[in-house]
Amino acid sequence: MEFDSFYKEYRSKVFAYLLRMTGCKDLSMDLVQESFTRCLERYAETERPGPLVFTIARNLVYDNHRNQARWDDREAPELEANANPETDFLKKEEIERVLQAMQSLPANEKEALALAASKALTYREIAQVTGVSEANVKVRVHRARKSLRRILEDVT
Amino acid sequence: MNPDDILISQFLDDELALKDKLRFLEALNTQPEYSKEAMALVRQEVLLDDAHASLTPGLEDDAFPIAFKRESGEPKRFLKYAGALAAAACLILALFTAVLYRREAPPEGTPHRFVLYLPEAQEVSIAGSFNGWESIPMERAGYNGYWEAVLVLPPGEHRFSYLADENKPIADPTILAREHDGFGGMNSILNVARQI
Repeated sequence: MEFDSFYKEYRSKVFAYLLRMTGCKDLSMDLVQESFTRCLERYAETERPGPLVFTIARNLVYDNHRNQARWDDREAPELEANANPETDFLKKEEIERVLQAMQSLPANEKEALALAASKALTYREIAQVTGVSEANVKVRVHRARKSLRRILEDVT
Repeated sequence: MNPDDILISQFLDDELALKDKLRFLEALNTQPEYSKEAMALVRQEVLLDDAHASLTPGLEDDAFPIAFKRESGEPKRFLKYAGALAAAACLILALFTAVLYRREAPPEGTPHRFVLYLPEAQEVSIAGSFNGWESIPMERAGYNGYWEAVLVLPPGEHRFSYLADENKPIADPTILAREHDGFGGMNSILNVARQI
């Protein structure tokens, strides 16, 4: 696959995964660039690099988490300007609420849901990326959705 | 967990087999609480999707940044052909030499570019099994937080890690194969193929 078309197809999916993992737009944008650059450097000839770019993104999230540097200046995400500031405000609040709720999930559930909700990988591929069985992925994804629902209900 | 519960997530993730679709629809029709739960989780998924969609309008239309291509893509393409030409030249030379002098070829080596993104670091080095774990300083690649070192490595499996300011080992985030170093850190495992 040409790298440009792979990039166009997967960029927003990797961004969605990173945003749900980190809760931070700027950090997610940085990590998207890093993930694809590294994927291009090492795995450009790979036939189906989707799971690989997610594995690279996942490693980058954990490496960043370990050194904490960029996680500490996490800020609320900025929305694109909209004609109605009140709608913007409500939407921004809702997005913050969802992203914050994601951060409260147990790490393995958050990861499983972030990968599944990116709509880029099958359960089998998520199992490869996370190193657990496919059956385990199914359970984790569903537990995460239920936990997220409970958290969102509690804060409303 | 009720086994039917998972069907809701499998439905959301397009993971239902035909028979599971039937089970899912039956459960929706016969269990009002289940149906309510399914609706709530679908709404929540829409909310999750909206969260990233609102932050990335038109993101999928962007091309891969040219700066990154120049840095890594084009040289790679060039190197691919250069590598093929060099390999062909080496092969002819090796055959010629072997026939004429019947001597063994010198030890092979492949230049490998190590890259690490560590913008906060003041100094970064790399150490590995390829040189007895002596640390080799890396150089800044521009001003965007990347560090690089190009080392000539013989074919085979090499273990290595990066060392930042506090000498804490850092595994290469782009290499999937890793192992514990026995001191609480991780080493990356790099396989260098033999040049043909």
